[in-house]
Amino acid sequence: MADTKKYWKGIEELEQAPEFVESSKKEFSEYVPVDEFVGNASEDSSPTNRRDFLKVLGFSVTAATLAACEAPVTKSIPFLNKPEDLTPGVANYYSSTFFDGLDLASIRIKTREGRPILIEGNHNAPTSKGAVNARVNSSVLSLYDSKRSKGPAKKIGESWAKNLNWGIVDKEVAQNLRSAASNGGKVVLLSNTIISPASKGAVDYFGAFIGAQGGSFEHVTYDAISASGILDANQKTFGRRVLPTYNFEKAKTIVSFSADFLNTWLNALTYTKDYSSNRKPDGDWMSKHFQFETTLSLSGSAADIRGALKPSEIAEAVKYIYGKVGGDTTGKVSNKLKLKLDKAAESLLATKGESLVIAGSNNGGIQILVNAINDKLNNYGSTIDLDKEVYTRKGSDVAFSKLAKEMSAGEVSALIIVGLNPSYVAPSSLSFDEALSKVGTVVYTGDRLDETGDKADYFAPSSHYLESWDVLNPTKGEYAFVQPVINPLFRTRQWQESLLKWSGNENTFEVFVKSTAKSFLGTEASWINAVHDGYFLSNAFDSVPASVSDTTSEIEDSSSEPVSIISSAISSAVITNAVSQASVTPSGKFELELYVKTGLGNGDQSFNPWLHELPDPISKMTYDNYIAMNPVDVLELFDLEDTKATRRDFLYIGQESPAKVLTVTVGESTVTLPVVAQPGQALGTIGIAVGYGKKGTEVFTRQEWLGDLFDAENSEKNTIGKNVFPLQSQDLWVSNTISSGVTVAVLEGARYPMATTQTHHTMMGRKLVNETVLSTFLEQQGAAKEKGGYNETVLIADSYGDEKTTRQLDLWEEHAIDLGHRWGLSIDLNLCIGCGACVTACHLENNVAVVGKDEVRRSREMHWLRVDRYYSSHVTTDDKDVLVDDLSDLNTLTEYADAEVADSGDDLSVVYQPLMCQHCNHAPCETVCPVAATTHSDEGLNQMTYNRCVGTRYCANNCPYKVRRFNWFQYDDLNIPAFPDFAKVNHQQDDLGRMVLNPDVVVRSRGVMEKCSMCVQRIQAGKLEAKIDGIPVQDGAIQTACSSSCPTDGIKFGDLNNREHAVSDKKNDDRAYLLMEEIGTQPNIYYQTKVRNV
Amino acid sequence: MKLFKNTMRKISSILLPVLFMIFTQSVVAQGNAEAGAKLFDANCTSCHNMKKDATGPALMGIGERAPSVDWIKKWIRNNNKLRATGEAYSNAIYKKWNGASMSAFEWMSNQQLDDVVEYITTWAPKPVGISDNARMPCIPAKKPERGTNMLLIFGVIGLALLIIVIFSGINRSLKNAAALRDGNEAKEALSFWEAIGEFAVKNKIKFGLIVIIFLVFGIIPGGWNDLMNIGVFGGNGFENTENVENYHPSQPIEFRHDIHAGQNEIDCKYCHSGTLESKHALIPSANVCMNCHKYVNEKEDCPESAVQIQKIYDAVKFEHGSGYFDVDADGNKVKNEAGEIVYHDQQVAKGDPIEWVKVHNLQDFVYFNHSQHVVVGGLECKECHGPVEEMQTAEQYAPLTMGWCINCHRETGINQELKFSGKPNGYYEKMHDEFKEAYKRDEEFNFTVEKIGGLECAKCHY
Repeated sequence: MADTKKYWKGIEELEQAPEFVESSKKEFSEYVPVDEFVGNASEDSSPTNRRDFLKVLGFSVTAATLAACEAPVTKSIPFLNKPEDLTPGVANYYSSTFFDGLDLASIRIKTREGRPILIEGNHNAPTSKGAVNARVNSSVLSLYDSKRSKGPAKKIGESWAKNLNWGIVDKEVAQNLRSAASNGGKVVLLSNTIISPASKGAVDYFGAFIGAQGGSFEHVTYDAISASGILDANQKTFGRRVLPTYNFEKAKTIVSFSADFLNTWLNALTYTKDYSSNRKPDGDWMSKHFQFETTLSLSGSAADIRGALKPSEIAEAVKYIYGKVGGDTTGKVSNKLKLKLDKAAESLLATKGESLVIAGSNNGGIQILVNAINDKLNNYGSTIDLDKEVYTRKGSDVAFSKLAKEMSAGEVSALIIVGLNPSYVAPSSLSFDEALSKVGTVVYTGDRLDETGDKADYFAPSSHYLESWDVLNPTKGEYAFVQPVINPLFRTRQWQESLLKWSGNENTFEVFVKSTAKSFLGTEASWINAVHDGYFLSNAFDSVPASVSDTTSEIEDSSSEPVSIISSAISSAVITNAVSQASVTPSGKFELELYVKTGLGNGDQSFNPWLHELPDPISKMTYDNYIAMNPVDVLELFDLEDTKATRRDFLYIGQESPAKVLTVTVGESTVTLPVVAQPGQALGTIGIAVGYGKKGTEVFTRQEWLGDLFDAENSEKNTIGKNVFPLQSQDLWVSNTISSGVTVAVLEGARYPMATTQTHHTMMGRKLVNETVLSTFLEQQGAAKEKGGYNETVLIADSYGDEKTTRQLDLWEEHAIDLGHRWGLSIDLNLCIGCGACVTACHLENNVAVVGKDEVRRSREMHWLRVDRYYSSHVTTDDKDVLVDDLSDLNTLTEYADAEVADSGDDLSVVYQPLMCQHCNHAPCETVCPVAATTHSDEGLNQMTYNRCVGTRYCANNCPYKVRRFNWFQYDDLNIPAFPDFAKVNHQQDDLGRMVLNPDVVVRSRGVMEKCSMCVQRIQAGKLEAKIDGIPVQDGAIQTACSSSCPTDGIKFGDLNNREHAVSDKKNDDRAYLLMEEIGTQPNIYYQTKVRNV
Repeated sequence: MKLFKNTMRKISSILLPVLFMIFTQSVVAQGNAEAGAKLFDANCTSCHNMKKDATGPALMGIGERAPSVDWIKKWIRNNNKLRATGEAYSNAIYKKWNGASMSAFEWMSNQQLDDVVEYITTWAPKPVGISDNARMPCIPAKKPERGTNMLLIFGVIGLALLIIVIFSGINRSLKNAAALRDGNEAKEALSFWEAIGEFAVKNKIKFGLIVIIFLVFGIIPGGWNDLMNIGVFGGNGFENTENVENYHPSQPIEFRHDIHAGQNEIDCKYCHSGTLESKHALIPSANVCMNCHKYVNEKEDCPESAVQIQKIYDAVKFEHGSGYFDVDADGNKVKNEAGEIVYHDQQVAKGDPIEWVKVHNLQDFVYFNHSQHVVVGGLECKECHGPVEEMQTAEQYAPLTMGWCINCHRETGINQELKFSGKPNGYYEKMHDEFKEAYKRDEEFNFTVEKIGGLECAKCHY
């Protein structure tokens, strides 16, 4: 219902003169030519004299003022014919599924007035069980990316003819394909994993068409984050090239070798949900989690015991464990690691049949050994279910490299690329770009002309998944549905439909999906139900067999026949072979691990500013990838003595302390990146995140943000971060770890500004995290809050020396908080894995602005909710010999900078603490606001009234939790961006990006303070629903954005005054504590003490 | 006086039992028309009008038309079942209405059915008042023009000046006469401006004051009015508006609320259907207009109305008599009395939505929800929107200022009943007791919106 009347201040605005457009983007004019009309000498000669200037100025100011006075006439335009199921102001929800080859999530999409605005987990679905992560819930903004291609294109010479009609492109592509096929040429479809029977059907239809024309057709599958090693190992040991179902909820001991199963490893979301169900100390039992890894990961930081090792040591460690659990191998491991591995083995043996060993490596040899370990531990059939096959990874590294060879040899006449950006993700050893140039016709179906798109001949842009139909088969007997929630925004078309069209089938893909699904659903009614639910479970239907490429023959196979039932059938020959495949001989000072970061994942969403601004859970860096290196190694590399002073002064990265720059060379590839001292990184290793440096991300950045890495001559190289996929090595499998030939050199004098939030909003070393171990927890049950307990109540002596609680000593007048509702949150530190899904969910729900790298550097990020990450080196005094080296006592830290560049070593543990407004009942912010813009509600909320705020920032200064955010710029102004660079990253300044805004939450303007409102709009909506139904608010009926998005259910929301709400019990729990209880703010957010199972 | 009382007592002692008997009889036998009216409003008004055919037939006089009261009840409960029995009248009705069947109301209790039937059979047009068809003006009367008061002020000022001039002239003549009599020299007759000049020189302070008073009372209000005219309240509709309350912009279609809501008594929520479920009341989409205006294309005795209704047809691209035709039992096209084939009306193209001008412009930073106030709070539309049924063009009635909202929240008690069933609202039950206990010192505990935080900022601003 927007106003259609046009307002303008001058002709130049009306006509959009280039000068005006340019100047409108500047808040302050760059150069005011004062001399021209003020200087006496030049007064006569200047084109404008001072008096004329003042006259014009006076007139225009008056005119502008008067023009601005007019009250606007607002139009209200109803539908011509209102759809029955769409009422403006009422949200509609649709089920769908997110699958991009990395994450799989059943989701529920909230739409308002036909616009998808929010993605949450579908809690009824068996797939991913309602868990989402930051990449999934941020994907709604990727839909509104105005830089996506607007229509099909074809290459003429070196340049592109863009925005063509589909007819032209269809005709030419079909022609090319037909002539390629009729000449007996080979047509290849290269895709990422396809788990859709309908899409598979479309591919088969296309293949048959090519065959009928006389050509040969091949479908090659490759995943950017490859799991080929596991698949090949399973093929070899069990005869099935599929993934098994891992039942983390049944595992009492979990040993993971570099598998970040809480973040990016296989079906991480399902694992997260299952894993977290047994991480509560108050349950029947609590799982024990060992993680052995190189780069500190989310899983590593959640682990009870974490060991750091070099990539080359993983094979040794796996062999060592295999030997310990009854195998016949021995591994060479350091003494320090041995202690931990022994503990792990001991625990594994104690929970035989209820344990789980996994490895993230893409090396088939290691995976066979891991299979053998699990077999020895009788885990098959209990924690690992081979019969419930999982199809979410099917890529074959061998097939991919074979394809590259064929392409180079000119054997491929036509190549269609789907769901993959091979020029970006292929290891450099394959020379994929060169191979691509030898292919007759290349058709690319990505969402824009990226690395691969640029080299294609035709571009047939595929629709976003929120505009698409599909039916997925992620697991045997389990179906997930994808349905469009909006019409395609641009002239895009699902790639499946394009394939059908090129093979002469005029059906839409929707028809195709429906008929495929109906083959197992039967009736129309069950189809409607299934699409409504978003999933369908079928025991009767025999699922589509996983596409088994015949490429495994290249893996040296001397073993016995494949077996379907696990036994000791993994012969010693297989083991010997596996050991030789797994073993690596490291050389050089450093080993390299390429890891997948929480924010950008495989880089598919590189254009999503929410993900760029989401601080990495571990390093708290935003916007860039970097070289993660142990602080000890960094200091050694720079020839500095390892002292407290050098650590603080040299390693600290802040607004005025840019990062140093290193150059990493692997073989012929070189990459130059800033170095970040990362505690927990294995000594002698470096870690770099993939998914960065994507073509086109240079628009997000500018010269000052790139420091000495700015390339003035080659602007295309000024991307956010650098692409390190080419550094992968490739033999049988594509490997993300490189153990030999890695050289690291300092780029002398070069500096690079990094935007980190790790030292922002710090709470000055106050005790914030409460932590204990399982044995203490069990011992002190019911007595934890007494003196000496791990959760001791804070007592303060009054003037008579009597010890009193802060509540007894309070001077404040009580709010009527016991009356009616009292909303509150309970946050379980034990369950928080730091994934950041809540941070992005809060972005989505509350229209939080994105500020850009430069502003993040100035601590001006707008996140209402942050996840604080605390390192600690002391876990327990009992295990001092194992876990504590020569680390200084963190409790004696005096300066927070010390804590942030903490002691080194590779042994440390991590606690995550989500922190939002604590909604104090006695809030320090409320008393200092001169205009009463922040007040307290009787329902326990600390309210922020933006239209009353005058921006004094007293409240932020007085907040002990530092959760208030000041809005420094006009982030929401579409027409006159206060600062042109925001428009590049901030969706609120983009016509299309604004469509993601939640219409129930106001978009804050410049000069106001904002903060977490505990999703008051959802509380109000939930209360209204209850009132209409005439019932009290039910537990769980109202969810905040953070609580509903938490994949581990670590955040619970409810009415603290209502006995039927879970949070009301949680607040009296043994583990419950208030943040900084001693200052008497009486928050409504309760934290649950972290308990480690060591 | 005493006699009168006694007589009254006697009369009433005879009359009351009789009246009582009649009254109770009617309640027991035929249901309660008032309860029926509520049910009718909630369930029937979307298709039925009392006096006019709409989606369904006009119901006035149904008691006489229908075979029996029992038939009406059966029809309401489930007309499909009734027709299935082969009953003649119901099938005739069905055929007459082109096979449009009414939704079933099996959920209604016998009592509720009685109530509704009582209401529709006893309904009669109100004898006088705004609902009188003949009294409804076809063309809205123009509101009096503004600005005449300024002329009046100038007139008064002018008259006063004239009197002053005349009287000062007389005064001077008299003084001159007196001076001559006393032997002094008569003053020269000064011109008007010269006199003012002399006065100014002689009485500097007085003159200054007069000038200031002129400035204050003359120029400043004039200037203020001129400022008002530069468009602070400019734009469509604001030009006739002294304050925001009665903002009544001109609309693309001269829609008459007085005819629709007043004369025809269409329930507000029939068109503004969002009121019950959404934060927005919703301006009706054109298909809602067409529910009735498919048939109603002109108001009786008011040819101007056809022009306005035509605008809806233009918007939806609706054409009369060019669509499909009916076929009778013999397979022939249905013809009218003149022997022409009867074509139905049809929509010939996609159409464009009607761009109404928004009357109630609440600021973006205020969250207001209609369903909260209408469904939960049980407010009537007119409590905020005023006597819409008397308005020719929709105008803003309430100021919609924060003070106005707050005041209502302070005074209004919470509606603890559910809107449709009248049962107590379970959401408030426990809360009410808790609050009553907490406020037990207050002699008169009033469970107002304020008590549960209705004045707090974050109830409306987030």
